[in-house]
Formats: sequence, C-alpha cells, structure tokens
Amino acid sequence: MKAKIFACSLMLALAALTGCSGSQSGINRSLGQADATRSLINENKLDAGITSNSYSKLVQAKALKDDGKIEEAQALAEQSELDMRLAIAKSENEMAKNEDKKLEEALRADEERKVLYQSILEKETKK
Amino acid sequence: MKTIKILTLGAIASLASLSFAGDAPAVTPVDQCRLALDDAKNNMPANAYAAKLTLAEGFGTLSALETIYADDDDSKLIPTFLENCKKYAEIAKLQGETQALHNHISENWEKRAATNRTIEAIQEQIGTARSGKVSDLEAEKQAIKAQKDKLEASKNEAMDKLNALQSQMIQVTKDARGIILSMSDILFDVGRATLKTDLMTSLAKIAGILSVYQQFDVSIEGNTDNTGSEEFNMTLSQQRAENVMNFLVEQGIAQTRLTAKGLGMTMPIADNSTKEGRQKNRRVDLVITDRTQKVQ
Repeated sequence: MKAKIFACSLMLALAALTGCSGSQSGINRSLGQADATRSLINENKLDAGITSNSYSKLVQAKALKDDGKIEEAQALAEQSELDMRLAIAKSENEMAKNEDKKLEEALRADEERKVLYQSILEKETKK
Repeated sequence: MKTIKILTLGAIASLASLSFAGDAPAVTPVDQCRLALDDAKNNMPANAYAAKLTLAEGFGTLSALETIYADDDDSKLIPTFLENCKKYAEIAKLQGETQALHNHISENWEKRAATNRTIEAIQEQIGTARSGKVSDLEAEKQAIKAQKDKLEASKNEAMDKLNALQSQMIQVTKDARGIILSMSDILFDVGRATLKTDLMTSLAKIAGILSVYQQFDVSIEGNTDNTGSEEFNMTLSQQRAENVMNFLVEQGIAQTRLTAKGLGMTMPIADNSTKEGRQKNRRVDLVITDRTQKVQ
C-alpha cells in the first residue's frame, strides 16, 4: 500500500510540475487530478475528515469553473488535491514512525540477546 | 534546526513590527510563502526526492503568487495561493521527515543484521567452548576409568595373593569393608598375646603383600569368645591386635597404614554356646581396606 501511495503521489507531483495555466485545459487537468487523488484517498481509507473537506473544495472548484472563474477554480482544485496529498503524507509519516518504533524495539531485543550470549560465552570460557 | 526556526520567527516578527510601524514593507503573502518553503527545506535528507519535488511545486506556486501579487495585491486569488503554498511546505516537511525515518529504518536493519551476525558468531564460540569441554570431560572420564581399572587389577592381584594365604588357620573373606583375614587364636599362645611362629610367618607374607600394594590400609581387630571376664577379654584382644600391628611395623609397614583395637567379646561371628562357635570367635581379624576407594 505504501509503495502504491508513494508511486501515485510521485505521479501526481510530476503531473503538477508539468505546469498549470489558467487555461481551460489547465483547470480540467487540475480537476481531473484532484478527482484521481480523491479516489486514491477513498481506496486507501485515509482521513475521512480531510476527504470530505477536500471534496467540498472540489465541488466548489467545479462551480467556479462553471461560473467562468477559471483561475480561482484551478487554485481551489489544487488546494483540494493538496489537502489529500497532505493526508497521504501524514499517513506515510505515521506508518514510517510505527515501523521505525518497531524496528528500534527489535534492535534493542537483539542487543539484549547479544549481551546474554556474551555473558554465556564468558561463563563457558571461564569454567 | 531550532536556530533556523528562531531566526525565521524572528524575521517574521521583525517584518511584522516594521509593518505596524507603517513606514516599512509589511509581511506580504509572498514573504509568508517563501518563509514557509524555506523552513520546509531545512534539514531535508539528501535523498528526500519526493519532498524536493513537492518543494519545487511549492516554489512554482510562489512564482505564481509573486506575479499575481505584483499585478494586484488585492487579488482574490492570493489567499488560496498562499494557503496552497503553505500546504506544499507542510507536505514537503512531512515527506522529508518520512524519508529521514526511512533512512533511520535502513540503518537499523543494517545494525540488526550486524548484531545477528555477531550473535551467530558468539553462538558458534559457545558451541566450540562446550564441545571442547565435552571432549576434555570425556578424556578425564577415560583417565579415571583407566586408573580405576588399574587399581581394580592391582586389588584383584593382591586378593589372589592374600587368597593364597588361605589355610586352616587363616580364613580369607571379602565383605563391604574390604578383604578380611581372620586368624585363628591357635596362632597365639593360650590366654596370652604372644605371636606363634606360624603366625609370624603368615604375617610376614602379608607384610610383603602390603608393601607391594601401597593402597591398602589395615585395621587389626582382636576378638575373643565369651568365656572369662569381659575386662580380661578386652585386654587380651587389645594386646593381640597391638602385637600383630607391631610385628607388621617391624616388617616395614608404615604405622600410619595400621590401626589396632581390641573388641573383646563384643563382635562374635559364631554362636558362643558351642565349642566350634567359641573357636571361631577367638580370632584376630585383619580388615584390609582400599584407601583409593575410600577417597572415591
């Protein structure tokens, strides 16, 4: 899942880097990207609060686009997508923290085992 | 990191205070965006590529914001662009932290692998130490067994030689205490402790055997039947035992290997009511014990 999120977020980031203009194609791209990110968020069951907030921004962006306020619509669509990317980043960060914590514990246990075996060896060689 | 944060906050504060003064430039949305992105850039691991891409997007937004702000500092787009810029900064910061965690995780996996290799090496050393001890122990066991066999062979040899002394006057038996040579009182003068020549001959042979088999100690026990007073019997048995001991010492047996005691009529081996029984009870026993077996 982590790899999937990473690959998707990287793809989205690259897509965004290719440039967003105030043009019709630009707003369509931004809205499409925000929609795709939303699907990704839903698939991976990330923060529901963020999802609903970003969804309402997306709806708003679409409304602005319909009103012809292209630049505003594009900026809001981008924001909607950023909210979701932030949720992804938080989720990844949380997963990494958990993994790091577990690994620290495992390493500590290994170190304790090492000390134990060293003491056994000392006893065995002293006798 | 802390210092940079303090400096950043200081810069914001200075700019803010200047804006309140009225005659200096205010903290513009552009400044705020740039500060947020610069802050996110700090302490970013070199391999935090995703974070760097996000930052690049953030700087793209900053450029757009600069253009918008330059065109119209009251533009409705500014708050959204500023918020987007801050979000890029926040995401980049999180991605940087995540990459730092991944780097730490990789280091810890390497540490774990190294620790486990060390543990395996120690386990092998323990195994070697233990197997070495097993072979040492085995060798020690074999040496003990060889020594035991040697002693047993020596004992059997001695036993054969002592058995050869078996006669009407000397009974050779074996019990839990060791080898017992029971010498009839015929070998003593009646009512006296003086050794007869036959007894001395037998004792000389015994001394010869004892001098070869140094592991044997001898407890000399004088016994009587129940005729006569207890006191007389005790004294007579003690004297006979001592005389036997002294003779053996004269034959070159170390006194430390010998003990003598009179038991009187206290240790009968046969019924004192019959003549034959009383005859058997009047005796001097040489209890020959193996010192090496006592130690074990």
